Amino acid sequence: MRIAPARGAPWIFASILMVIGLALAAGGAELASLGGSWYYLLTGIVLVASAVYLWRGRRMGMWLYLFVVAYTLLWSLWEIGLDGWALASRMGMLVVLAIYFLFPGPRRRLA
Amino acid sequence: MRNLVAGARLTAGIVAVLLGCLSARLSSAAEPVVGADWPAYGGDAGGSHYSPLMQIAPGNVAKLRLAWSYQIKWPQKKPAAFEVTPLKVGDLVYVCLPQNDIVALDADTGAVRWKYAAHLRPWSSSTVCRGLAYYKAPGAPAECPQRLIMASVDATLRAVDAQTGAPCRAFGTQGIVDLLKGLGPVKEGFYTPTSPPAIVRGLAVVGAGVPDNGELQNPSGVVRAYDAITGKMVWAWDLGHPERHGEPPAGDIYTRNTPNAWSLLSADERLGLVYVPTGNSNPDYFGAHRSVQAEKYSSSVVALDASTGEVRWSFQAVHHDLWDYDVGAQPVLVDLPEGSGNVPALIQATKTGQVFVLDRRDGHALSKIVERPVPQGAGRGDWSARTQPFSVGMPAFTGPDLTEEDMWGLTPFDALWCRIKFRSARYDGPMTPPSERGWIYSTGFLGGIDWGGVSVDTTRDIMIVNSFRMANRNRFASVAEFANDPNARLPFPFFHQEGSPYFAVFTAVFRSPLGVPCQRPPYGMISAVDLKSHRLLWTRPLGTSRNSGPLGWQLPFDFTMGSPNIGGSLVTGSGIAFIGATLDQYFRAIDVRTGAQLWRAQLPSAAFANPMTYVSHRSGRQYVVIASGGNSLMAHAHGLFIMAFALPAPH
Repeated sequence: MRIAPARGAPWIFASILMVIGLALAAGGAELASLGGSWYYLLTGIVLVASAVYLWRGRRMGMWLYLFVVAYTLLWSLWEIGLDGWALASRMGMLVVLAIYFLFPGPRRRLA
Repeated sequence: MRNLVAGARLTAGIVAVLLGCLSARLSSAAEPVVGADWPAYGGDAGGSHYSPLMQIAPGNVAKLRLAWSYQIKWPQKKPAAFEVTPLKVGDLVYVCLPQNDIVALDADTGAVRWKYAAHLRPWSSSTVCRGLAYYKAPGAPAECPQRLIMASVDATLRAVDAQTGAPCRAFGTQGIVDLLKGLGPVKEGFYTPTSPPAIVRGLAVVGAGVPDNGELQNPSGVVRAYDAITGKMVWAWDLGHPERHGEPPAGDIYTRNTPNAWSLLSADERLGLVYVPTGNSNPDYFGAHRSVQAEKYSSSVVALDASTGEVRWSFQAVHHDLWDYDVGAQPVLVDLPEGSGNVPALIQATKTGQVFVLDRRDGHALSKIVERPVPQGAGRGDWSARTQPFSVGMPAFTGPDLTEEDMWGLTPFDALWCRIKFRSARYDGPMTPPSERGWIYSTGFLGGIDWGGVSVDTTRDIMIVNSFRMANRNRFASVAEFANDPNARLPFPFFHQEGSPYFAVFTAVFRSPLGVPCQRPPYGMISAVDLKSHRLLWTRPLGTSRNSGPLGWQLPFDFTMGSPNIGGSLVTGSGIAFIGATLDQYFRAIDVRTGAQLWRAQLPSAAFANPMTYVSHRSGRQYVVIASGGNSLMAHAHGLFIMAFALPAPH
């Protein structure tokens, strides 16, 4: 198994996602064990997968990330409805990071 | 018909103006009245915070401008909270500063007319002065016919001439009464009056603050009445010795560590009663050792006979208080329509967000109160009350119960941290008791409704309530957590829990590591209640996100959020509620009927104080005044300000 990033892969972005994913998965596991929401554990795992794909230069990483953004919105609306402050807390970081995929450069580099 | 009505109105108007001029002429001789004057902390002695003034009205309040301001230079490092509500009598506005100096300002210009330097005895404590009491002596004595009486943070009661600022020499010793007398040994800063005395039947009645979670040997919470002319003690209410009304006999002292009265008292001159909101015995979160009398009178409102200090009745808002839910709001004395006539009522707002309405003659409920079972448990060896009173006949301002979905954060990380803490601590809704696994309680120790209290539009029978909903997260801590000398000062926010099996308690607002609340907004609400139907008329978030932010940053984003708020409101006859209190540093005018914001002005600092209003006899202009200086947490970087707003002067 190759550890080094694929040629041209967005490895910095992938690393950031990896750290985020691992942190959410670890905290999420604790929360789930306390009887709380499973969202953070599952999202952490999906973000780790997304990071791995991006590291390898695979477009699937982008789709997985956008999938997280989409279901997080649905989950947020289901949990708290149309509350701007509560939505900002749940969506803010994910949406800001999603801006990365709006640039043509990263998209071109993904196979 | 129409012309007739207009004519009648015009005549009435002229008569009102003439009467106004007349009362202005007579003002030096007559008793001050709320309207032209603001002679007591809460406007009237009953704390309604109501003024009948109409000049500033919903139709013109948008034109309100800063008329004058008075700045007090204050070193940023010097801890203080600027919580004063000034008084206005005659031509002067009276302000006490956090270290109990007094300034008298010209009602039209804010120019200093006189200053009184308190020269406090060295006394290491935080400084705050919520206000002064005004007293007009009967029979016009030669010295101090009109006087200001102030309870100072160095445990003294002082009287100064309202016209000159000179000490009233016949009051106590050269104008000062030592409040430490009879308390036994008191550590520096362990007995600190911060609220003005209540004036009733020629007496000044005063309590004091003692440290929360101080020690079992805290000074007594005794409430004492002093002759407003001579400063002689007339009675004391020491709840450990209900049979005594004077000073303790030689060799004895007032009972230590009894519930104290740090907040604002109210008085009913006609009934001859003074109403005392009480705190709790130390420490806050463990109560196994509390005495029977302390259990009876803690976190209560107690009606004392103004002539003797005897208890006439009492109402306990929280039984066996394990939450620091001391009663901070001034009891509001208003007459409410009940059945065929008016009943003298007392409205007691509390930190739990409950508002109790009682008959102030005997304490019986005018609005339904039920004792409901509450979650059980407490620290090891302690117990919890089976039931607590809930004011089900009135709207509550507790906010909804917290759920995991309410957990919040700036990022998913701190929101997740908050969810984990929420799930791992004990939380079972209102009155969740202390628990060894840590506990969350909501409302937290800042309320609900704290010392800012409520205001009542006594013509429309509408109560204005600003409330705060932010949970506390607490846990007990053992001595092993503190590697240093166990007698050393604990790091904030740890506090000793003397007398309990626990070394200390960690008690703080439930916040994420990024310093943002662990629950979603809103944190502050303003609401109106119809006191005839007991129905909520409207409720809205109070304040914006301006000056809030993570890690203590003060960000400029001005979105409606519902701000944490400290301080209260006033209402005027024209139907406007004025309020500062928010972290966003705005001073607001709100339509009493709809809750709509009519006007706001940015202040130099947050206004953690109640506003006041008056009319100048000279210019006929109405002013609305508020203290803007924040507190030590919300830095008063630019000093302390008294800000006076008025409509543009007529040409």
